[in-house]
Formats: sequence, structure tokens, C-alpha cells
Amino acid sequence: MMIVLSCSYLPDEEGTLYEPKTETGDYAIYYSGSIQPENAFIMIPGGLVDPYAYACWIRDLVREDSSFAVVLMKYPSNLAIANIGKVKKIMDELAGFTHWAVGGHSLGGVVAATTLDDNRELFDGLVLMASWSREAADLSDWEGTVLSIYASEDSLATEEEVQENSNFLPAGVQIDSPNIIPDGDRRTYYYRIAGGNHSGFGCYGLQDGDGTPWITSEAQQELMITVMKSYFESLW
Amino acid sequence: MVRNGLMIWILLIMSGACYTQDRITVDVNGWINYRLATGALQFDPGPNGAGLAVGMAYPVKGSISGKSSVEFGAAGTGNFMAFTVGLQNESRSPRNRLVGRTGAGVLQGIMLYRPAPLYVWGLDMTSMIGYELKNRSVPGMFAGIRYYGIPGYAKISEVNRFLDLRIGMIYLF
Repeated sequence: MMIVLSCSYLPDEEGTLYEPKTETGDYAIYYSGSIQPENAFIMIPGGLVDPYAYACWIRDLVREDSSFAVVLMKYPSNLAIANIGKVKKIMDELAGFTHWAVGGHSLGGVVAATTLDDNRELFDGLVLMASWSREAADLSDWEGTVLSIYASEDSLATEEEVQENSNFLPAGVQIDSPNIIPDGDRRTYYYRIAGGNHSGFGCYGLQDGDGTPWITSEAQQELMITVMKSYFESLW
Repeated sequence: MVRNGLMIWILLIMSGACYTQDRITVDVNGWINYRLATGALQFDPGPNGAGLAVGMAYPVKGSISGKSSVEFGAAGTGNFMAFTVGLQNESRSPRNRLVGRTGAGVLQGIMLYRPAPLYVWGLDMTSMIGYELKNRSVPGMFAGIRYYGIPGYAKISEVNRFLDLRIGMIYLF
């Protein structure tokens, strides 16, 4: 039982062979062009998902926008929750970046919110993918902006759970189009992907217990990329 | 203090020829990994998981014993399950009840992935020192290095081989 519960999802074929600019045992950095940008988005993988399962859309995200890099975090057990302090250590190591946002998928998003709560002054933004913050990391009074992306067919992080935990984020607004328009005091942008599911936030096949999507994961990731680009433009 | 400790360790290992292991021992051990290098031994330090194992040592000849263990842990790119086999030299100092073991082994196992596991191989060297209690059990500590690789992960990342320092606790029964 323990062994089955310890298995990580490997990237499917489409998620492989996207070479990062820099790669160590702790992270992989992606950006386009030859000059390292000043802005960086730290991406924390979901629990028991291999980090490279997110490389499929990270490659397209940085290809379309060279103003920021993506730092994809790695964890030996593929469980970021077992090492919440690691992001801060890596930030200290990567001194070339001056502006930071953090985010994650599923359990990785919970770790991202906790990391931000522990280091509020260091981050400009937070991106939650099928995830939320919790009472222990109450960000409702945080003055930055948050992008929360969720999917209608997600059975592992449902729309209801995203809404139930919205109290722990700054006051929010639902956006129908993937183009972010700053909206005064409402600083959390909720973006719902109709037809998408939990597994569609990465490239690793269908996760156990997930709902059946009625759009392709490529279509889901195109929408993710569009809204994230728009969000980072509003941030940096 | 450190020099005296090292001297005791060296004397224990060198005196192994005088000792004959006379029984099968079973051990449980747990450790943490500290990564020293990745790939073709590029310096890449950082914490790198932990593990638990149940092992057995059986007399071969004189102070040399065979060892085998089954282990479960997290290292490198994910969680794994493996078995190791190897040889070790055991030394005992009856006067102060110290027990030392130094050995090398080969690891074969699987990284726990879906949809299918990936093969992992490794080589390790370990030294332990412990104190023999009246009931003949031996609590102790060990340290060692392990080089291991996941060939199937090479299509995903260039970081698919690791050199780890392992430090842990062991209990021999």
C-alpha cells in the first residue's frame, strides 16, 4: 500500500526532452533568449508528480514571453510539502533574479501560498493552479495580487473547494476572459477553465480519481499560458 | 578527540583479521542523504532524501561477511525500493565492546513511477561503528557514499545520476 502511494506520475512523451537553460538536482530554469531576465516565477509541482510533467507548457510560456524565467522546483520524494523551506533557500542561491512570483499545482500551490506567507516581502505574485491557501497561511490581508486557475471537471480540487477557501486570499473577482484587467481592491483573479481537469495542468496522463475532461490538455494549457502571461504583464 | 576517534576506527578495521564472525545478524537502519554531485560528478550539493532498510549479514570467511538488505526511501528523482548485496569486514574489540564494519555493495531496484517503474542501479561503500550491549545487540552509526543512476530518466533530464553522502543510525540484532 505504502509503495503504491509513493509512486510519482512521470511526464508523458510530450512532456519530455524540453531542455532547460540550467539544471541541478534542486531546480531547472527555463527562459527564452540568451540573457537571463530579472523576473522569475517559481513553479512548485503537485504532490507525487514528476516536475518535468510541467515542462510541456513552461516551454511555451517562456517562448512567448522573454521577460521572465520559470524556476521549476525539484524534490527528492516529489512531495514539496515535506520541504516547505526549500524555495527560500533556492531564491538565496539564485541571486541574479530581482523580482519573484511563486506558484504551484495542487499540493504545490498550498506550499507556494505557505512560502509566500512566510516571506511576504519577497514576492510580487502568487499563481494557484487547482489549489488554494489555508487558514495556517491566511493571505487575505496580503497586498499583492493572486491568480487562481481552476477547472470545471476537476474532481481532486473542485470548484467548491476553491470557493470555500477563498477567504484565505485577498478579495477576488471572477474573470471570464484570460486577459487580466486590474480591478482596484479586488486582487485575486479567479479564472475557470471550462472542460478542463486536474491532470490537464500538467502532461502526465489522467490522475487517479480525476474527472473526465471535455477539452484536450493542450487546449487547457493554452488557456493557462494566456492568462498567466497576462497576469505576469500586470505584475512586472 | 577527533583524532582519537579516527585511531580507534582504524584499529578496529585493521584488527578485523583477528575476528571471525560466528553468526548471522539482522539489522535495521535509517539514514539521510546529502547530495554531493550529479551527472558526471558535477558538484551539486544539497539534501537529497532519506531511507530505511532491513538487512542481514552472514559469515563468509574469517572477518569477512556477506550482506544483503531491502530498502525503501526517497533519493534523486523520486521514491524507490531496492535491494543491495555486498561484502563487509567486521572488527570487534571485546575489551571496550566496540564493533566496526566496513563494506561495499551493489544496489538494484526500481524508482516508483506511474505508469511504470524505472530501473535504478547503484554502488555504495559504508562504514559503521557501534557498541555491543549485554544482549549482543549493537546500536551504532554509519556513514558512506553511494553513486546511483536511473538510466530510463535520461530521456527526461540530464540529472539522472547522483553521488550522495549517507549518514544514519543502525541497530544490529
